[in-house]
Amino acid sequence: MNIDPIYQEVILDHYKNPRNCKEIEGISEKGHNASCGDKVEVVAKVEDGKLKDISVCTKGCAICTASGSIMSEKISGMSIEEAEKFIEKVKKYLKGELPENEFDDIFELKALSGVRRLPVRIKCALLPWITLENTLKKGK
Amino acid sequence: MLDLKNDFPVFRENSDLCFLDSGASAQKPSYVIDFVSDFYRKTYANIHRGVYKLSWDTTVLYDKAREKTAEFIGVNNPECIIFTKNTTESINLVAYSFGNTLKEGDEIIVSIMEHHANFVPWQMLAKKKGIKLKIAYIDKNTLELPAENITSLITEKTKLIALSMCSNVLGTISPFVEVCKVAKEKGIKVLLDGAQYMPHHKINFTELGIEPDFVVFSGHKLCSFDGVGVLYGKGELLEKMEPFLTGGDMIETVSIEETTFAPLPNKFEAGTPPIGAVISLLKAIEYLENIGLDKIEEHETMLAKEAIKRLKEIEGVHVFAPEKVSNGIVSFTIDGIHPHDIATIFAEDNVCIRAGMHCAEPLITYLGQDSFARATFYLYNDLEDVERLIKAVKKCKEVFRL
Repeated sequence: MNIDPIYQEVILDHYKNPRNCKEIEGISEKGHNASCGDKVEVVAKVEDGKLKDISVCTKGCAICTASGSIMSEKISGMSIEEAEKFIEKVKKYLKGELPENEFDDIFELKALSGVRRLPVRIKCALLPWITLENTLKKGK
Repeated sequence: MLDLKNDFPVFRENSDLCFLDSGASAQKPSYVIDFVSDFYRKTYANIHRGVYKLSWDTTVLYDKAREKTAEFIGVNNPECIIFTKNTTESINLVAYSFGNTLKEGDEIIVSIMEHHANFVPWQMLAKKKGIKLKIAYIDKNTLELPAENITSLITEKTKLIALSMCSNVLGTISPFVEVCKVAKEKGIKVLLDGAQYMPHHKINFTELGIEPDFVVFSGHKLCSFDGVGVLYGKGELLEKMEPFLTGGDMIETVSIEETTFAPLPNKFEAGTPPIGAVISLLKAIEYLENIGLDKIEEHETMLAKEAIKRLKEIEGVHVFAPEKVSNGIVSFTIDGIHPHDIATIFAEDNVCIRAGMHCAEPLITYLGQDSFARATFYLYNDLEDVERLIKAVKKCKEVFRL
């Protein structure tokens, strides 16, 4: 097991300076990992079937925080349908159900792929994505 | 200094293992594993039922475990030792069966440093029956629990004090002796949660001159197999309490209309118990007593003190322990690194610690924290393990560019 690929610069950067934790109006949902205490709050501003803006605030480990921050950057502006498909794909990727090179074009997500080798930490990376999924369901 | 790694096969099977999570569950010595494995090969049968030799021999061993457990905590009546699944089940048994005798308006006192096992059952009972649950707080600065923080909460309505003997997060020893004495004068029942205390300290309740009404602990934290917990209860209370689980083995007679219950301890041991685990408890207690509980306490305390001293020398590391350390529990945080990331980086070097809330969320919240990293030392750890811990902490800071 090699740790460094997980705690690489891009992950540490998103952990130390998480993006898009802000005050916006929209549908909100909270996510919680009971075993470790990771907490995520997502607010999604949906207009004309599009995810116009998103706020992701995390209180947790580097993996969970970075995952939420990266998600906020990548998913904003997508249509709801696109966002749902994207979430599904990322979830599969993090769980190791898609090839490692699936996100060669999005280096931040590729950086998260290290969790695929750490089964107990996958849930940390998944939490923001699952919380956003629940947020969008709530909006329907 | 103790040098016992060779007694524990796990260290032979994992040559580079630095195991600092005995607070969650302890490793098992060959002394225990071999005996139980032999028992399953040669002797095993169900207890109490068969008239044949295997069943009789198994029953003798099972009863011997009960006698040994009574002796281990210094009580004179083995029939008041009930074997359960774990500490959690022991407490749930009391919350259910003793809880049945409580009524609306009664009060129960617990401390803020309880494990969820000694918190949630009382919270549930309180909500169900309209009982008031009162919380005794620790001193945030010293991390100690002064006896008056508990006794000052006592009123005429107080029926039970459920108190951990040792915090699984801080290692703080509660003032259980004083609390037992005050409670006895006032006719209040006391339950002592010894899950983190019993594996590390010699105790004899009779010699101490205190008579807790209930004492609970688990076998697996003191080197027995998992699956066996202990409930000691005062005979007069256990006699009056309703059974918790009902069915086989706990009855006297059963008719279509009615059931009468077996005498203690069987009344509280419904169904086939974890026989192998109970026998492993007998051997685990023998093993610990052969080494000496006082020696174990001294050894792990020495290691914890060394670890705390070294951790405090590292910038950004905060240790959460009372000034008087008397066991192997060391909880800490590192500025800028979440404990789960600490544990993950530790794991790469085969250093096993626990991170998170440690089943003590009210305490962690009270201390204004989200999570702790916790290293726990036990009889098989040594100074090399302290070195590994310190090295791993330094590595965390490097990985996080701190």
